[in-house]
Amino acid sequence: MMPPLPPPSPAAHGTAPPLPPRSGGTQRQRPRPPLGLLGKGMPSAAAESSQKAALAEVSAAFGQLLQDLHFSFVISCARSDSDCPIVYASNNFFGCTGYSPAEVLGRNCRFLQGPATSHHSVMEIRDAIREERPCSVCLLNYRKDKTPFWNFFRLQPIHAPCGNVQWFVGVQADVTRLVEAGGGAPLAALEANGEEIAASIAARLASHQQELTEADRTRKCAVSSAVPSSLVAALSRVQDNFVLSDPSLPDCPIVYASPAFLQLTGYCCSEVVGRNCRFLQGPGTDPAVVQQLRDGLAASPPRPVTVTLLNYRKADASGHQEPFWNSLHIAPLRDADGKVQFYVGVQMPITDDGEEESDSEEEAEHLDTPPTHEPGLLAAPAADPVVLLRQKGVVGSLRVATRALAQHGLRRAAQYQHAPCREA
Amino acid sequence: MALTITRNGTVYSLTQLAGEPDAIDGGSPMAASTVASSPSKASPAKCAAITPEKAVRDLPAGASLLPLYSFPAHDGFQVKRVRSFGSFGDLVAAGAAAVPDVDNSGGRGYASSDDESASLDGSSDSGASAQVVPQRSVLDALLLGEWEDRAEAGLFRYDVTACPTKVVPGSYGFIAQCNEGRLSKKRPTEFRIDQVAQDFDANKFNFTKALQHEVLFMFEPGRRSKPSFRPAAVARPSPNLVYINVSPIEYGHVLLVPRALDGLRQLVTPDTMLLALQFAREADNPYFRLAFNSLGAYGTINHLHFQAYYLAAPFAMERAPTAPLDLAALGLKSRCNAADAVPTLIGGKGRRRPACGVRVEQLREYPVRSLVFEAGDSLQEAAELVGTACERLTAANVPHNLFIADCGARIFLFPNCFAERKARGQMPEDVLETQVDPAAWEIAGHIVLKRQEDYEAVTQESAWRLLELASCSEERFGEVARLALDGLI
Repeated sequence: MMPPLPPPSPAAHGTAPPLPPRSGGTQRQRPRPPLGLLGKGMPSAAAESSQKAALAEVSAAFGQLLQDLHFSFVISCARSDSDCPIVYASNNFFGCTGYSPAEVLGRNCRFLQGPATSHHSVMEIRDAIREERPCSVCLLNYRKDKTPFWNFFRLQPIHAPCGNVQWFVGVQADVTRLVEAGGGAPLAALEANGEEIAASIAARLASHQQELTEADRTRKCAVSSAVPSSLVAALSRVQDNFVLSDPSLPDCPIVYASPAFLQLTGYCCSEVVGRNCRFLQGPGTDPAVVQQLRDGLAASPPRPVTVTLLNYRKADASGHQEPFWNSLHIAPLRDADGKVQFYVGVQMPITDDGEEESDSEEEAEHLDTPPTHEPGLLAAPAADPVVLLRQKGVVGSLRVATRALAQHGLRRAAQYQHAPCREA
Repeated sequence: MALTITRNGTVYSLTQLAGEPDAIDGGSPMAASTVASSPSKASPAKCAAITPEKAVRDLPAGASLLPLYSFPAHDGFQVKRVRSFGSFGDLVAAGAAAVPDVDNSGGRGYASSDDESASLDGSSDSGASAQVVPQRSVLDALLLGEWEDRAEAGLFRYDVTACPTKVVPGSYGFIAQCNEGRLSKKRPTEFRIDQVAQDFDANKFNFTKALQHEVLFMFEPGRRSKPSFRPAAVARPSPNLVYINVSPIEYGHVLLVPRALDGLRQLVTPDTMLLALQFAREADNPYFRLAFNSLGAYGTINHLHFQAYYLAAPFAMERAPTAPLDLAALGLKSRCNAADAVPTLIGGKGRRRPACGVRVEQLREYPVRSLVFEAGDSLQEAAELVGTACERLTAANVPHNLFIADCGARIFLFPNCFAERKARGQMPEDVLETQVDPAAWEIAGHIVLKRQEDYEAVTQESAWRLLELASCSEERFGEVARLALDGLI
């Protein structure tokens, strides 16, 4: 239950925004949903159809450049928030796998794997994506009709001019007959073939990077180009509201904002990346709380801080900014060298009929402490312990991801990036 | 005459730091004072409460609550089902629960806590473009959240994220960490290394003496088909507990202690192996692995525990290639029917391998010889096979380690001869100086170095040399494999 909020005093601000409603202490009618440790993951129907349209658009853009190529291959987006989705599949993909290009748009290519696919080969592909390097793997895949086939798979990253990996090309070749005949030299020769094909695709796309990136509106997160793609993949697995800020840039701007954050605050990608997170503050935000935040981050070493403060969504057409109580947790993220790479800010809006079930003792304590802030500023409600746990879980996941970053990201240097051995 | 080595055992619990290591009393005021004061949590029940300062052995008194994670106790992985999603009609016909996403890391999205249906995949999947975005698992979120909470409460002896880590240059990608904080100032104790099964000694440190605050949650099988989490639940009679390791070597370093109050010895059996595999499966994160060190293979606490932590990079052992066991040379006969063989590719040549659920192979091109088990559809089968193999090795006094990767689908079992060589004085001086004893994590490829100069100087060759000394000879490995697997595969 939220503490009762005093009416805005005219002295504090002329045009006080309407305050978040109070619960009034009524019992909830429906049974309380089980406490969730994860954020919301279900896209709405409208979001799905717009996603579908965006996919069709970017697929067409690729198609213009590549449709005359007679190989089976797919292109996946490396910087998407939905797990390297396929954005283009060649017509020959159907011949190889039985899936039509339209059926696979937006999915991750791993749907081709199945019961007898060796874990080792899957791990090699996963590692190649993480190290952002090419790899060739012969693994068991399954067609649409569930029949297995041996797929000589070639993965090739495509770098943007700035150096980041934008897309991955995956080339398939059905080599079942070769394998069953015993494999050996003819199979090994295919590796060079796969490399050539992938290289030719990469060459075609090379000069069109800019327009392809612009045509791709499937991404719902806001991410600056400075964030490496392996980190983007890890970030996209966390469904909560959060932002990453880079303290090495002036004024610690946001370099990544999750789709959930954009939805919560009402801003869009371009309005968020490159700005400091303080744009969420507003007239009703308690400056003492903001100072608490600053103190924690300025400490040496910087320590995590959890505060509850009043934030504001984007102004709507009439200029009104909807306020909301935000349980904010900010923590430093270190890379493998132990240096602070980013700050993560996890926002948990505190609403009436959801998270908060603060202990009555805690609440009473809150009410008893005399307000030390200006009249007109509001006492923050207490946050649910599970909410706090969830925030920490987000920080934990991001710590694991950031820890793998050090220059090239806990990866082997380029000259060592081949498999330890080939079986003779 | 008993073979022993002298070393500093790792400090797993803060209660080990206060007083003498072997006669520790978890409830002593000195132990309590070393723990930072913890914020009290909400206590919904009238008499039972969350009691962080009490020792774990006080749990049965019934007055204490712990967070509880209940996992669905079904057998298979949800991953390895072939999915054909050609038409929406197929999905509806098959029923949502029958067509899980073929995905190691996703499609299990337990995102909507309001959803009571068995599976969430079918409902949102209306065709090609809509896809449930893979998420972290509930266990991931819980474990990391609780761990971070303890980190902020100051329970760890040092901040592991501040320890520099690097990939040792070379194709194998060994990972080296400079961790000076792991050194403890306690006096070294003697460990007997030629007896893998030793009696449980309640006077020595065991995990019931640790404080409840060091427990993150209980890990219990539940009856529902989805995992669930309760922030405060009454402890079961013999709960499986997940503890923090106060000397972590990576973020999220925890200890899984099956049936913590039962005083199990540090040896793996099929049912405890199953719990470990279920833990790995529930985490559903290929960067979260488990390890086990038997006594004699640098397990220092004779109270059954598995270690686990997150590292977002592959271990060198995972990368190394495998080859099928030469059953004839080992004197083993395959139990399986050749007609059921599955296609497989070895060295670029097509073969057919017996389809007996769990695949057993040997690790190749790696400094340490190891058996590699690859689970099929059944965790139960894998646990049975590996657990029985471990029991046999224990009975034969072979010190061994386990390394569980790929969400429980790949299990490495290897004998460890390092301690024996050390006790017999067969260790080169420079290796002795680094004071690094290769246990499961080191052999898997994550080497924690205690001195800055060792960290600077480590190379792939020096790491290889260190690990090689832990490997048994080819002949001995054959004997061990035969002993472990005879009649099982």
